[in-house]
Amino acid sequence: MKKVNWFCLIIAGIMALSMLAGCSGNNNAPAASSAAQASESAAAPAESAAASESAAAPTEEAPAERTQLTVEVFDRANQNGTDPTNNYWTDWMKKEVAEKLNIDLTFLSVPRSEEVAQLNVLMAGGSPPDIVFTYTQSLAYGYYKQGGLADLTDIVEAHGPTIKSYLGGEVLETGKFDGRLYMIPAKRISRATYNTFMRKDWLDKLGLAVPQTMDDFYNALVAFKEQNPGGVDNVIPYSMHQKAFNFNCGNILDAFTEISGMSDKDKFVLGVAQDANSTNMLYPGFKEGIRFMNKMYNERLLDQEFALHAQYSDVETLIMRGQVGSWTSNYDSPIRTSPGVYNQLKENVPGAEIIVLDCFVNTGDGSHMRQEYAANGIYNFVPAASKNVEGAVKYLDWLCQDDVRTYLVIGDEGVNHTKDEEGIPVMINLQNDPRMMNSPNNLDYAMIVNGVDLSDMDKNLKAIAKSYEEQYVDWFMEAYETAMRDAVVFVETVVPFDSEGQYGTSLNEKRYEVLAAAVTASEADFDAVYDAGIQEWKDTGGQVCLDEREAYWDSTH
Amino acid sequence: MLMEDAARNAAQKKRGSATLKLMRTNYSLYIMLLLPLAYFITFRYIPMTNIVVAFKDYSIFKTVWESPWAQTGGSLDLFKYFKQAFKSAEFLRVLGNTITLNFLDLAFGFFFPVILALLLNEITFRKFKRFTQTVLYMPHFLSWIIIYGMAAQIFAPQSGVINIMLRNIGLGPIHFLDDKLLWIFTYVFLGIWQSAGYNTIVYLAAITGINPELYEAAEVDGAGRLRKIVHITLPGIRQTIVVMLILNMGRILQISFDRPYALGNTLVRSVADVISTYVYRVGIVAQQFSLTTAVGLFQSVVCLIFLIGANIITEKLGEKGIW
Repeated sequence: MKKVNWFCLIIAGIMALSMLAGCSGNNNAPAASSAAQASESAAAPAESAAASESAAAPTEEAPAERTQLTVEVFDRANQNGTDPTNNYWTDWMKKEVAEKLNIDLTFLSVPRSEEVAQLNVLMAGGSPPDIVFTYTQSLAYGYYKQGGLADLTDIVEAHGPTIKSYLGGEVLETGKFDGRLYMIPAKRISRATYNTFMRKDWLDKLGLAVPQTMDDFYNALVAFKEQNPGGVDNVIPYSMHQKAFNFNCGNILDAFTEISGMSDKDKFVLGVAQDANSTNMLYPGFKEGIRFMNKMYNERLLDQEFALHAQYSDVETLIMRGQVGSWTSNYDSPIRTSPGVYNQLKENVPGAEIIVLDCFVNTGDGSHMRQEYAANGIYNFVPAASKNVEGAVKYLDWLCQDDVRTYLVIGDEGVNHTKDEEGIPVMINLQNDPRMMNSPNNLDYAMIVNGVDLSDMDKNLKAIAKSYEEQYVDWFMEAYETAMRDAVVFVETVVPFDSEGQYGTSLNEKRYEVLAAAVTASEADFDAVYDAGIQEWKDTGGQVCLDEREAYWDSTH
Repeated sequence: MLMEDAARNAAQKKRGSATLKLMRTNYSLYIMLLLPLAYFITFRYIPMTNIVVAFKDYSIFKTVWESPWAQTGGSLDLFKYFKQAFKSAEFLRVLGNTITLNFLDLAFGFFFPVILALLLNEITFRKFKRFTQTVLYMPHFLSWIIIYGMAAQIFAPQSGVINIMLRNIGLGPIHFLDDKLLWIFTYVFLGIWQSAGYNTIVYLAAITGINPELYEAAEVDGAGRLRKIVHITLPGIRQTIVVMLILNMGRILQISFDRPYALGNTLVRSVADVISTYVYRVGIVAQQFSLTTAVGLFQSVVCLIFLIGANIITEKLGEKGIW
């Protein structure tokens, strides 16, 4: 009997311990960060003493009282990357901000891949960082509707002169809800979206010219299929992934989309509930684009396993193995250093060559119409729960300053970049160095600009071109020019709607489902499947969104 | 009358004091119980109060209690989100899919562990039995993402092993993963593959509890293996089977997130979209917390009804239920 009791007590003890361990496990992170905060604030008096000495410098009227400011930052989980909340760059920013704005700066990292879910948790938690951001405008609009965003209109007027001068006009305009400024969007330097690529060595082997028209494109794919110029197992003439329907097959769909005859109202109303830069499936001609892809699928020109490729990186693997003849992705994707598609391909298939296609002639007006990004990038905003809205605006204003921005984006000369003969910075790909950047051009810290801005688009372009390996500089320029030729933004003004907040994600998923079904239908069934799918999409909430858009247009025009 | 009452009171008192006495002697057991109890209260019962979100216009910037009760056009409408769910074709579809997939899982998956347990029990070479058991348990510890990776290698229409073999003998591809009907088959099959082995544990445990004398007696009477299985082993674990069946009925609307999410793709979404993936998409991503809480509450209520219903039916059929 005694033994049993002892046994029970031991078990109970172990359980108690394990529960405590569980609790402390959960609390570990905040505890650590608050410890870090404590040590920082302990260091703060010394710093502020130093700051008050230099406060004699008349440049900035530093507020008498030191304020706290927390800023969100993406944790991109880069291999060999530095801690996003504590590294050379954050140290520099903390020091500068403490001196110039009398602000104690802290960073809070959020995993890049769980951005939206984490942001929801932060916002709901009641003490979110003072500056947060998202690429998803509808998400920010949802917060706005629930009263979760701080109104920045007057504060930017009072404390954000550089914000106004740097982002003024076009970019800042996209940060407004109902006429008031709630978000400080980033400026986007390169507005190029996607390109379609093809294996030039395959074309050469078959004696085919580079495609100039859609027919050429189609014939090249047929030749790839029938003659397998690469001599590979499972040749895939054109590959894409299951959610490709906008971006990763954009050129094909754009070629059939006839926007030239559309009224502004139609463009606006039919541009419903889509994520940014999507070919709209309700626009005239879009169906013909899908019909073309349906034909490609049935003739086995389109990847027969596209539905099993969850994301673009799955396709990338096939490209690097040398199985794919043609594909569509970010306008510069093959020459990007990560994962280095072009280099990998050349390593696996000696003599492989990738070219950018410019054969997507629009069926409506014969132009090479395609989409470009809007003028703004990520949306930065301040939660209503923030106790330091003014500090947040001042901080963003500080980021907009020319010298601050430039230093964050290009870093130290000789370390992060070198200057070429024209004085254009050429970035160095730093690895295993404290001054390495976790995001390209410190995009995550610069916040208000996506890329190098030398206040001159030609120079900016050269700077971008030189950020790639030297052998690809010309390749880049061609890719960029192709991607920007006849490029348009379908709907200039983006207005958020309640119905789209409610149905948006469901409609997106539904669209992928409907279009995948249409592409894989038999050619005889295509019309029936496609039309039924569109109807289903409308029933899922698409019609509600269309009606709200139309009512809005009618009431404002 | 009075006498009877008094007698009953006395009996109760006696029983009461007996309970107290039992508690005193086994106090360490009760101490042990305190911790799980605290766990359930803190992590199960207190969070349960948040069910009211289903009846409120919840805003993440207010606390649950601060948020106003659900309203339509200014007037109180507590069941607004339930109505919204049942009016939405999307929800009805995920509801149907959840029931279909779970029902098929139950219909085809439920008896596999029983059969496996019976087979394992018949293996006399102990080392081989142990080895087989371990091999059978293994898939249970693989995540669905990994299982999907393996399934894609085997079942993909063009690059999968099976279809490569079929192609070599001149047969067309079988779309195990991207044809709706075949996908359901693959889903159920992989589910059985993953969990059947692990689920044998409970039956094997029940089998060890059977009195070996019964087998000896049967042998003396000249019963063969099959006879022994049918007349001794199966009746011996009948109660366990019934309990497992009731518990499974209680999960008819509960479906894990990772399995349909990992195995699904855009071509089969019309059969693979289930309550858990819907709640993730509409609740966590699109922030419609009230709607998805309503869905969750509905799900739990239906599960409870099924659980109780199954229990009542089994008791009516003369078996012991789960309480």
